[in-house]
Amino acid sequence: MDKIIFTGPVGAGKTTAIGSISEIPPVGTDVQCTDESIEIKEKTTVAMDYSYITLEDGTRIHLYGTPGQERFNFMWNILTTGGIGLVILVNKDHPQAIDELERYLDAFSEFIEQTGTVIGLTKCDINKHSTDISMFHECLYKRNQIFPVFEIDARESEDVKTLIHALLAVLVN
Amino acid sequence: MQIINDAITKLTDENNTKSGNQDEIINQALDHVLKDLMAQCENIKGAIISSVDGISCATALHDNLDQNRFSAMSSALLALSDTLMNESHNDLTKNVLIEANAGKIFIMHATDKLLLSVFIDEQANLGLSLAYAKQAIDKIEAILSAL
Amino acid sequence: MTSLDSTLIISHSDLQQEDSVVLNTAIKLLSLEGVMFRLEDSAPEHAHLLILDDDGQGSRSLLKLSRPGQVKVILSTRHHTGKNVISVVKPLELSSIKSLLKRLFTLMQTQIKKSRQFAENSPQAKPIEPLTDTLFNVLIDTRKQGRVIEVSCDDYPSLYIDGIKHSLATNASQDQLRQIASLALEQLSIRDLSTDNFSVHSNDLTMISLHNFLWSSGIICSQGRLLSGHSIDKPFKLKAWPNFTRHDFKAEYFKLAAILAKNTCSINELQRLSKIPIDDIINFYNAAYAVGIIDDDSITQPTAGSDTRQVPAEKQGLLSRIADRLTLKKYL
Repeated sequence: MDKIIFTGPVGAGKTTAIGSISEIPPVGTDVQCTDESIEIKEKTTVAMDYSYITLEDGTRIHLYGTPGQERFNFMWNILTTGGIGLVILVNKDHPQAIDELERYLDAFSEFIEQTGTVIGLTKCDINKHSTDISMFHECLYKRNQIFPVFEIDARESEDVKTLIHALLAVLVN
Repeated sequence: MQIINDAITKLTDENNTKSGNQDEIINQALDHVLKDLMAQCENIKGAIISSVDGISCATALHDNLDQNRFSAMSSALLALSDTLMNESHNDLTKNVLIEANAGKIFIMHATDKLLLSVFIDEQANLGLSLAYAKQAIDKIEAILSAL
Repeated sequence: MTSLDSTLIISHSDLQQEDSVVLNTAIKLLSLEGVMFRLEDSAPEHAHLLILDDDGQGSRSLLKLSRPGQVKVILSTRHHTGKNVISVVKPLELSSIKSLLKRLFTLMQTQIKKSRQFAENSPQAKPIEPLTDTLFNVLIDTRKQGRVIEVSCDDYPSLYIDGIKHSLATNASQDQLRQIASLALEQLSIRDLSTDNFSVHSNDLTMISLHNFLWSSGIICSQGRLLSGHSIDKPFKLKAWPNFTRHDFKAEYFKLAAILAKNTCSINELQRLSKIPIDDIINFYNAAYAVGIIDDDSITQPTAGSDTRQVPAEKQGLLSRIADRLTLKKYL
């Protein structure tokens, strides 16, 4: 099965990003938040988000979103098995945005090694003083992982498509 | 339901003197519910009450099971099952039943905020166990609505 | 090779008269079919094809002069072998020499076309011009020297640029900014501002990142010209990917960035590796340099081609079909 996996912390916009490029209303497993995430949003994904795009020859590319909270990390392995690449979304406005990115780079390191990843920074327009994109560049440079990092609006399909194009370039070259 | 109400009143009185932590009162009441459930049937080997987004609220489990991990998995399974039911029958799940040779697990909604997972051994009577679980859910609903 | 567009030159030596007549007739008949040869007695080194008679003295000296790549047709009573040597038994027969020449014509034209394409694409095809006197150069200097400037011209809103804080204040739209970048420097008036003046002017204007404008003016102004002081032979790498969702880009840039994120190579090597026109690579390089993502400090050894991960053809096909499905509107 050909699938692209969207991951990242709570509230980074995984469900929205999948929805912006998918052909069908995404299938979600949203439930009401009861933990600290409730400050960010009311509902959260607990199993997965699912949607797809169909290629000209009829092949389906499945899009899966993982739950954000660490306690659901058992889903991460389940969802990445057989995937062709990973999209990591991070809320740029989060005070520990860099640590959040590193946490996901580490958690998915094996999958990234075998395939490839791109990083989308979301919620860029909320706060002018949020972490500058150059800090993310520096973090990746230090890790010797020069992955694409783009500022995106998860609601904009053009932005999400640009991320996927970069992912494909990483996978081919 | 008198017992529950008494328990809540007692707990509330006790806790009012210390800052009245509502969460703690609920959790203690939920612990009572699980103890009662376990006492009713020896074939029920464990039970967890978790939030719908996978956080453990009360447990009666054997030690080697990670309650946090199990809560998250239960919530993922029930959410997936709800999505499946909603897409196919436009309805919600009554219960998710997982069967194996060594025993069974069933997961049920307990109010719109919580869920109850119950472990039973291979000798347990499924119908009876489900009925006990249903009684426990009624108690949980009573606790939440009493607050 | 010097030739008229599709005419191939034959140089010959010591042909007997009857063979010469047959050859001339064959060439005339072929010209009716659009297969063009020209016979020349002199300058054999420029000929595409040498036709020699094995028995003639002149043939031996001509053979010595021939270039390794030249095709030699040797007329002889015995059989000759060798690289690029075709042996033809005397006396010449019209139909056989005609069909041989026709076959050679097709083969050699294909060969010539290929080598021309290669020459056109290869960096040696034309000298790389230096990039000077564009708004892009002004912007780079402004940032380097920490200047504050105003760029104005008749038909567009003014740009107020702070090279210290890396910001640009203007009412110009994205499209207008692109148009301004494409103007000749003579059409623009540029003056220095004080920081205070900048604050006065920029009040009420939209603030945008100077980075984004540096990038797009780099892409627009460069036109295949390289920033002076830079070399197409110096190896480099990318420190970071360009922020493509906020930059202008061509589809090819994804490939360039993906290669340069993993490998160290020069513009020349990159051209060979990626098969992307060198002008596009230079434009990309200039813009990437301007936004500070070129890494050429710590580089000692080129690593081009060291990443050996080979993507199976089947998967490559799938990935390119996904790219087709998710067509982007915003390509340059």
